Amino acid sequence: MIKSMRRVFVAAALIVVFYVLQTTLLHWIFPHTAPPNLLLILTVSAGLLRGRKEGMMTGFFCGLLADVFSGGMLCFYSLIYLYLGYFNGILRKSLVSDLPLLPMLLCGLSDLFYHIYIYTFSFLLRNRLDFTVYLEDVVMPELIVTIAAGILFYGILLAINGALEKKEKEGASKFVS
Amino acid sequence: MKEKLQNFTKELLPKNMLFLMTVICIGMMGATHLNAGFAAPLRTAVGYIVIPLQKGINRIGTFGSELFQERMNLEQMQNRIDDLEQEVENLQSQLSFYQNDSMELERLQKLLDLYDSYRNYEMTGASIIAKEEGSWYQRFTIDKGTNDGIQAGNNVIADGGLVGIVTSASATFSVVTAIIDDSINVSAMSQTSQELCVVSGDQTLIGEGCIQISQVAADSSIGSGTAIVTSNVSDRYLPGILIGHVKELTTDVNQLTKSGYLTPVVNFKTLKDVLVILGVKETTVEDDF
Repeated sequence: MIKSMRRVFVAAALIVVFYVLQTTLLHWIFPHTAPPNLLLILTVSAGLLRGRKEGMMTGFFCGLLADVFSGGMLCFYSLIYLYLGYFNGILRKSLVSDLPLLPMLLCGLSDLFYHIYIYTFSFLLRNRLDFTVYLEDVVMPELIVTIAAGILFYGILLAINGALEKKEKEGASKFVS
Repeated sequence: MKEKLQNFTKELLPKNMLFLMTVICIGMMGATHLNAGFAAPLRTAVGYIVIPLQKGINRIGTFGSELFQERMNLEQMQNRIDDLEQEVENLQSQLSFYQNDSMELERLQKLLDLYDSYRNYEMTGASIIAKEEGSWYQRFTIDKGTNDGIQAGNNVIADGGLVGIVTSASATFSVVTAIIDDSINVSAMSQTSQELCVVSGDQTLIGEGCIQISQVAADSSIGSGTAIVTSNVSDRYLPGILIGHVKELTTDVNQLTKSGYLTPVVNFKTLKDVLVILGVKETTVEDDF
């Protein structure tokens, strides 16, 4: 029980910190383009490191936070982050090394799906058909910085996950003896 | 009860969980789409945690950038002084012209009883503390909410021009959608001739720093350089707020209307502080007979 509480607390803190960084600090570092999508990196990493269920829940709450501050309807972002967490969770078993090659690729792919989702439901349905322009102006810049930031932040999350697992193992062995 | 819930989540297959969560998401989307007030308690609660963090980081950032700016400024100042002295001379000669103009303007305004109507409204200043996370939407969060009298539908101005409209207000923060957002349409008119047109944001034009203007009558006097203000007939925007100046206009295929680009007076890239007009435009809703 304590074990899962610790997980939940760490995940909640990470979601809030990543969101605040993304909406403030990263806007100054990238004043002319979109900042990297940290919430997406967090969701992808949660799926890859912790599996489908935790990927889904992390994604859901990441999306919910973004929804709360978008002022629009709730769960619009949650839905796409939910699916990203799930599908990245499927690939958990294919993650064999600590090298961030697969996570990088998945960050890129997930970001692409994320943008296609927003474009489809928020722009295409309002008859904005010029996808190539949006691809160039909005999607590509964010995709590139997200992949780059993905390496860094995936590394950080990998370390946090490692530390938590170590602590959980210690706790378990104490319990047995 | 707690254990039951724990067992339930443990035994639930991931794909069933995905299905369940999808249903919840779609349900919530529908519910909040129909009734935005449904999400208000959640917004308020989350605001109490996140807004102070954003404010804190912003304060640190402003302090840091001010220090940096100060050092940069010293070097630039000397060069600027020389340039500015030159400019002062030019401006002084222009000033006399403008003084004449402004006196005339004042007279005419009194004559026509056209006072700056929005100066009469109560306003409150607010700082931008966060921007939307991606670049699909041009929305930002300001640090004042319903506690300060802000409500959804309030107009937001800065630099003497229209910034946007409050689309959602919570206790401690509100979300403002800028007029350059793709979903925004503003009913507008020429400041001088009062001819109507429509100004709308366009995602594809954001890089060029302009927005669209359309529905200009083909025979109207609106041309490049015309000042465009919010119109009297708009149901959301108070009349007479400056939006920007027309950049270029071309006649549409139908030969009846013209459309083109407009440069807003507000610089959205460097925007930090805004003024929120606390009154909402009151429109008469016609009863069904």
